[in-house]
Amino acid sequence: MAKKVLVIDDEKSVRDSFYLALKNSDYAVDLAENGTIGLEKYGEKEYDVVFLDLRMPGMNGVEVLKRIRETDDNTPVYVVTTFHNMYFEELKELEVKKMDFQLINKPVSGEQITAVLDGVLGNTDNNNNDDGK
Amino acid sequence: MSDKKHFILSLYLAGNTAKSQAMVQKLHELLAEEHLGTYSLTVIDVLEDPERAIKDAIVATPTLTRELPEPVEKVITDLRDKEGVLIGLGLKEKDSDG
Repeated sequence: MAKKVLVIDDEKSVRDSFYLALKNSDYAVDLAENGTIGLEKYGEKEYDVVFLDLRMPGMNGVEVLKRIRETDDNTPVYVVTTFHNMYFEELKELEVKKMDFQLINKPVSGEQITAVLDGVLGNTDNNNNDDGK
Repeated sequence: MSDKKHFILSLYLAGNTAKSQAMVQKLHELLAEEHLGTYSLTVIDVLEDPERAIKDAIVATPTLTRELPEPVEKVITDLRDKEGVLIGLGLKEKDSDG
């Protein structure tokens, strides 16, 4: 059965990147354009991985992650953000509260999306990722 | 193959959480049980040092890299596929007898 992936991001271009990267893959992807819709979808299925934008209007990524972690400590949640201190301060609050999450650097390519999914869902054969070097 | 090498490894994690600590422990155990050679492991918290992650072209956490011997190899992994990680980093050959 296909592993289920949920992408919550207000930028259509980012959602499109995930869709295009995964549409012909072994992963089934659902897309949500804001935190509220994302949480609704999250409540409807058991997802294997969630990709979550940090900065969104309305309910931001930190708030969505807190809601997810109220009931679920195990599903890997990837915060999609630029690797920079400016974006990490609010994430450090979550670390202090012992909330687990992972990071993926923005912008993210289709190959990187697949490499992350293969790595965390156990298909390491495809995961010798040479992006960048 | 009997000649043991020395490996320089880095593990890039997101935060110093219990799961991060468990992963470091799991990695030490894996390397010890495989008897692949000696190694040194540096743990980098990307939340604390994002510049290092950028410099090292890290795309996501958790990533394990082998810096030496060259060439640099990287695997995004939570270590659930132990064999795949060792092969991906070139620490073990595919279909070797271990």
